[in-house]
Amino acid sequence: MPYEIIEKLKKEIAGYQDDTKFEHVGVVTEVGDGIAKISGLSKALSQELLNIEAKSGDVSAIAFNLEENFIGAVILGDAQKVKVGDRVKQTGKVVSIKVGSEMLGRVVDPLGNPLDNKGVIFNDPEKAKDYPLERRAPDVVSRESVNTPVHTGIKAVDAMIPIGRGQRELIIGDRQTGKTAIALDTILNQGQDAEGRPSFAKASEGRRQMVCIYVAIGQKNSKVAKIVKTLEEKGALAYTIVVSAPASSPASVQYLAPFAGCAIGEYFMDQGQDALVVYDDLSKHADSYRQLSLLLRRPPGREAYPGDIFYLHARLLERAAKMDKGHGGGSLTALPIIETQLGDVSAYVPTNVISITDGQIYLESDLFYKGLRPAINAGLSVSRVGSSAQTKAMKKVSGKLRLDLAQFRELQAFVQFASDLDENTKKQIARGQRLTEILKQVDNAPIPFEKQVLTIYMATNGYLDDVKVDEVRAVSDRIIDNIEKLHGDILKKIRVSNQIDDETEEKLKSSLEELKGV
Amino acid sequence: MRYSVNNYVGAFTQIIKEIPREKAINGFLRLLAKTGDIKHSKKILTAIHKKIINEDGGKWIDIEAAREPMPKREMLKNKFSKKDHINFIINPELVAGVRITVNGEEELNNTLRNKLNKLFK
Repeated sequence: MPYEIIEKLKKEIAGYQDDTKFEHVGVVTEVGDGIAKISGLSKALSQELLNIEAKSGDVSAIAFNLEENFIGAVILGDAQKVKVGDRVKQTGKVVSIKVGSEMLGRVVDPLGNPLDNKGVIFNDPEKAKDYPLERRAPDVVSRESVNTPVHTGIKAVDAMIPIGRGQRELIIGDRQTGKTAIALDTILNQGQDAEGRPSFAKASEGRRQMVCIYVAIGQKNSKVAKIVKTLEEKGALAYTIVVSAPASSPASVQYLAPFAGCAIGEYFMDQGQDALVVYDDLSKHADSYRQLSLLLRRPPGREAYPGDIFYLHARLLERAAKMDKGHGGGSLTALPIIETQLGDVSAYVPTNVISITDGQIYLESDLFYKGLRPAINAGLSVSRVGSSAQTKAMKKVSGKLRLDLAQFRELQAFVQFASDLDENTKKQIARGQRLTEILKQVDNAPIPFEKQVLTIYMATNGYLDDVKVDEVRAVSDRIIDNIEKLHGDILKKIRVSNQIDDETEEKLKSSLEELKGV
Repeated sequence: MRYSVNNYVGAFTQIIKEIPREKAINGFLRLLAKTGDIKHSKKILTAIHKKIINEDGGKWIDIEAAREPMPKREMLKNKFSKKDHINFIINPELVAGVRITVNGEEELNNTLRNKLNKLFK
């Protein structure tokens, strides 16, 4: 046997301190479906991490129900290992996750274990910080109002439903309507939006690189793998962390996933950086919590969800914040996703999350199948605080866009009687059709904000009125391309100054006139 | 079980103070037979025993050792109050040493198994 091993063992044995003392213990009296009933441990705290001493190794559990004579605990590890009679000890800790910047580019489970076969996450464990999964949301005094935009790269969103850093914007819609695509585009866009800006600049320097956290709750492993691959191919994984609790994982792990994602986001926010966390999706999170609650025999309420389902999501989403300069100036933006059934937004969980968030992006199946993608219903979608974070340039062009589209929606019913309408109405309908057309966009191809501004400027100022509706997108893309090549300074100026001043507008007008005939 | 162990314990410990002892025991056993929980009688009776000991000011002590003869049984017994109920249990999984549990809540674990677990964790 090598000398080092013997020496190490000798050191261990010599250093062993026999400090036998009375400890609080409990005993597992019932176990099943990932839930353990524990007698004793009358001094355990709510949400405390417990250690079950199973025969084949220790298993962690969380104290959920503190009853008069027993504790209902949710088993976090392999529930099969736990047997009746196993001893349980308190740890005095709440569930936490090790976080640090070394997590960037990694796929982890909600307890922080790597899932991507790339080895250990922290080469230097001292650099990792323990962040509790449950933490109180920042108080009112330490916050400031939303003032910097999160550019999603989606024209319809950035123009009409702007999102600010620190905001909570819900993405809601039926299955297969493009909810995840919007979240994914937002993550992909963060790379190009921050291009040319210092990666972790001060808050006063404007839009900085956002750290993105994608939390997959109850998703298929194949879907998560596809998302990770897309992020990797587009170079977005470098600033993204994926927290995965797939459908095959226990309900307890799925329940913890969004809290783990939030804790990771909070770490970056506390460092003064901007973080974006996508919860995909909170419907499945609510389902996992319902499962745990029913197994713990908590009384079921509406749709069999427990009474505290609102509090569950409120305390999670309330942790998204924009901190003031005195508290580092970081931010945590939340994009929760909710899946509706047959467009029913009046179900329990959707109404809860709608009321908690600062607005919603509502996606409709009908629009999706009509080919209007992203299938955003502009009438029902709203952003309550984002407009104050919108750039001046976007504000200038989007006001007219919103008005023109609203008028178009009013007149849309008359489209089939086009020949009987007066000239002005016909013009409004034609403009509306072209505006609708330019808002269409393929997924995984977010558009930089300055190009969005230019496209909308062209459409709202009549530069595309003479173009056939089905050619609008191709023509506008061509014009933008030519402007980029021939008048690149215009785009650069809008990008840097975030506004279209009179001089830039004049230049833009003349170059658009020049390119119109090309 | 039709009713929880705690419900049975609560009912019995209260009724025994109100009616004659023999009548209470007979009635209780008949109730267990009626509810079908007679098969859990060991668990229920142990819980009742624990409750009575605790109400009397005593403690329920479990002393576990790895094998017989349990060393210094009398000496250990004398360490506790006369009101305490002391259970001696043989548990070979402990390897060696003694584990004492008070009221199923507090534990003094001086077994070799615990020491080995701590050493190689």
